[in-house]
Amino acid sequence: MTTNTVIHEDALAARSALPIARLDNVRTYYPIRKGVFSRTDGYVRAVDGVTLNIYPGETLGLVGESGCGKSSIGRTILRLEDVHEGRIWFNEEEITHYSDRRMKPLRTQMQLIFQDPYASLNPRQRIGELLAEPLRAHKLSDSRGTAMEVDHLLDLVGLPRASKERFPHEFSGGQRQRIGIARALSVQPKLIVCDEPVSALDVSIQAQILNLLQDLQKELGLTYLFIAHGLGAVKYISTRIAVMYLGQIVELGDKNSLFDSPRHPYTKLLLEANPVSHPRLRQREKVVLEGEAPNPADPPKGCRFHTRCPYAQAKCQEEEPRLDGSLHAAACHYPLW
Amino acid sequence: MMVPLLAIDQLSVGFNTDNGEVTVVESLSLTAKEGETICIVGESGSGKSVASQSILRLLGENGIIQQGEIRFKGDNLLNKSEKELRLIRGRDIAIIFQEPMTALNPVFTVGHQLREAITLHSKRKGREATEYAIDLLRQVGIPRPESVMRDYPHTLSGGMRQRAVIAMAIASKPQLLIADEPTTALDVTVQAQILQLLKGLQEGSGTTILLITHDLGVVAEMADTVVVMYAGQIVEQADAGSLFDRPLHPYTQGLIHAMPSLQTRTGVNDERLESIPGTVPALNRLPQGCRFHPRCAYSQDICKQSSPPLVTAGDNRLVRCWLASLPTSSEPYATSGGQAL
Amino acid sequence: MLPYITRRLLISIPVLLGITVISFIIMKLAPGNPVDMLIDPNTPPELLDAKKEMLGLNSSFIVQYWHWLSGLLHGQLGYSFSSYAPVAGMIGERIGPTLLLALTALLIGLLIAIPLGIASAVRHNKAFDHTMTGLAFVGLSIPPFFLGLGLIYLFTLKVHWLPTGGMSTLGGEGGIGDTLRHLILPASVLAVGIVGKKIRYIRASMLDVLGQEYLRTARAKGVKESLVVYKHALRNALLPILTVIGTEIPVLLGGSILVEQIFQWPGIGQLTMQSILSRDYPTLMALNLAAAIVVMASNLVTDILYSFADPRIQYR
Repeated sequence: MTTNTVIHEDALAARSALPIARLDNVRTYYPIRKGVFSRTDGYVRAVDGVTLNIYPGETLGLVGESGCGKSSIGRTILRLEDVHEGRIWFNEEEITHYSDRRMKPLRTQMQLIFQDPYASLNPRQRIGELLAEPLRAHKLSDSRGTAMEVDHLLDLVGLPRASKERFPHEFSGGQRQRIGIARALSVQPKLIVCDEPVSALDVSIQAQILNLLQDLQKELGLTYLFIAHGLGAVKYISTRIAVMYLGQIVELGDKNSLFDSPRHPYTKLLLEANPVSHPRLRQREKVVLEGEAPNPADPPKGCRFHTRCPYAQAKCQEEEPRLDGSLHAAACHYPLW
Repeated sequence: MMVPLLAIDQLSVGFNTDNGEVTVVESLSLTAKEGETICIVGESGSGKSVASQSILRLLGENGIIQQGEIRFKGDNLLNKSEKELRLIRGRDIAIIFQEPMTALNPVFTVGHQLREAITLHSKRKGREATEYAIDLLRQVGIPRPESVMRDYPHTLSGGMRQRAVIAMAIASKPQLLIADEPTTALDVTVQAQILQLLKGLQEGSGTTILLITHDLGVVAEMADTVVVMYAGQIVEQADAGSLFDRPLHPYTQGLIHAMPSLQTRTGVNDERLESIPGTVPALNRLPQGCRFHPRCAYSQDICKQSSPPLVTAGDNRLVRCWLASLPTSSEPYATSGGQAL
Repeated sequence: MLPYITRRLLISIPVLLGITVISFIIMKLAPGNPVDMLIDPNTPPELLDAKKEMLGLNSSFIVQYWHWLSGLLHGQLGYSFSSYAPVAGMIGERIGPTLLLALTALLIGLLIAIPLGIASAVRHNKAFDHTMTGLAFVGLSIPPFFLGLGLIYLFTLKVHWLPTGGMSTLGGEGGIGDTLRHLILPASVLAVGIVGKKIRYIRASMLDVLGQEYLRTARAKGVKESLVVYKHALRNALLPILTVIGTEIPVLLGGSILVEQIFQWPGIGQLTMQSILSRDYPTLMALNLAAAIVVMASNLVTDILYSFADPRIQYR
């Protein structure tokens, strides 16, 4: 129980600070076009009414099945998507409708790390050039300072300094992810959105990158929004965790509380779907989450999970549950506790 | 003694590349008994997929089987003609591939491809084949099977496509089902459904499953016997319980400890995952001596010089490590359980 | 599907208008005018001027274009400056032979290129493949006029098997057999170019498909190798080929200009050359418009066919 209390205090301490990023009832929709004049014929509701605070220094894990809108939340916070409704703050500054020009100075403070770093690295650019480019674009240092900064970045992510003369294809997957991280760090960001940063890597390499991310956080005081479908990685790195289903957050709480005693039936089934860590823990009659998530363009009425929920009752088909305001919040009419 | 269903003996497989022939699987031996689930676990470049594809000789034109035997019910598959092998493919031995998105032909309906699998190896034709196909789709848990028969693969989700692929694979009730990373491309929720489906099918039919995966979680869920591969070689083999209880090879220890688990509690930022340093070596630039030694915390002089043999280590266990082969140094490491990694 | 086609047709209207404006400008920028091209250089200038006035060549550029456009909107393509015949009729007369030539060439070309391309891909990097790639390169690089003259020399002057040109024997009975005999040489010349281009394309497309995982699935089911190639792979490989055939039709029509000249084939190509030389504005404008329509229509038809051939493509 001691760890649990410590974590609660940590989480409380974090919450006494002002959030670094804040979403208020945000909806991010993608139009579906149809007909002779491509008129909008409905929307894919990728993010559908999400309220979320991210506090400085924390790692907020965001989990859910593919298509639940977790990546869209990341892109929305970075203002890479236009919101349909709701408001977004970054450091107490409302950025909901900022133009690209007004966003530019803020871009140095928020960065994105991708799942496939290779696709985001220019294959014809040497690593040194690639890391220096953002420094120049944002006029963060003179040319001598830039060279030193590039060395410093390579040190930070554990790559040899000689790497700067080489091209992306000369590196392995894990090393490329290190390069991706170094590039994100080059502009000295405060918030980094990590979108499935270890999903494509070999198991032995995943641990290296997770450890690196954690070391960097301590050293540089970073805040992470860590998006992943691998629950183990999320549990390892996060302080708090938000569980998403069909564009909405269904449960939000500190890591151990959420993993030990989930309140929302979806979270419980999601956790149970994760493979065991030892053959001894196998369950003969495992309760598996049946079926697949419905179409986000046409979500079910009432609670969105009611179509797959083993505990669903009449009320769940009618009334949409809201995330209650407790420290460990769940959006469920009949939470597990 | 009974003939095992599948016995691979000293199999080596190479690939023709621009830089000459590269050996990707070296002297692999394993046996699979009827009804058991045997998992080959390893990272990219370990040779696990190549080994599994060699069984049905599906390596493509650049793959070369350099030596060894693959005996299925006592018959060496490597001596069979292409025509004889075709009768075994899909009928006695079926295979499921990793990517359900690309494993089905986009221009034919699910029903067409499923019926093809049925009519190839049975006398069922026309209406009867269609009805059996619908029945198979129902068995693998596809809702509204009649209408899915008419659907093209791209209209189905990844999980549904993988179910359709499984339906095709079990059409002729094969004795051996090879599943090459069958859930890697899927969500954990769908993975759980598919693994449960495979277990259920196995219970019903007694099929032997050879499961290829990089995910120790999948191994923990499914395996009776585990074969761990690294850089083209088997480095450890054991029954699943013993392997997770007491991994012998430093690589296996590293893998198990690098796996972030849901069952253990973790604090905030005060605990580090144990990781294996360095990267998987390229097969054309393998280190001398033990292939794992540059990443191994226990590496000694002998490890850098000569390659360790695969030796017996207790009941039905095999390990390829000098520390296990040399009696003097086996004690401190065998009990450490990789804590120092 | 229907909304998609409607949208494509609506978009094509401004595009076609734009094309006619540009062709009109380019035509006017070219030196010379129909009257100079038509008439004896010793004709007195007053007469020339009267002639120009009659043909409307003295009014401003915009008026001339407007005149042409309003005629078009009334369904009138005008009269040829050189032959005084209605342009629509002239084109109508010529379109048949050109289509016959182009489609025959396309058919022959594809019938040769598709099997050879597939065979080449299946025997990737073997001697047959290298030979085919080499031959394709030769077919692609040999100039049509050279090949045409060579064939005429060989088949007409040396062995007297085939006629030198035209579409029927002068003073002969005519008939299908006669037309076919005249068709062989020009169609072959056009087909050689098609084969050269398409072998390489089909080979690449097939090679791409041969590496796909669903073929491994088919093999793993126990499907015969010949069926793997000709059923599972070919259907997929033909999809990109469909696109190329669509884009090939306009190229063929362009290519036939030269070939029709060499073989005096009485088609659109010959008419085009004559109209250019005599600065026959109304005919040229109509030919340009027709060419633009052919290009856009073949693109649209290709896209529609594609959506039938590939279940993954849906137009909305």
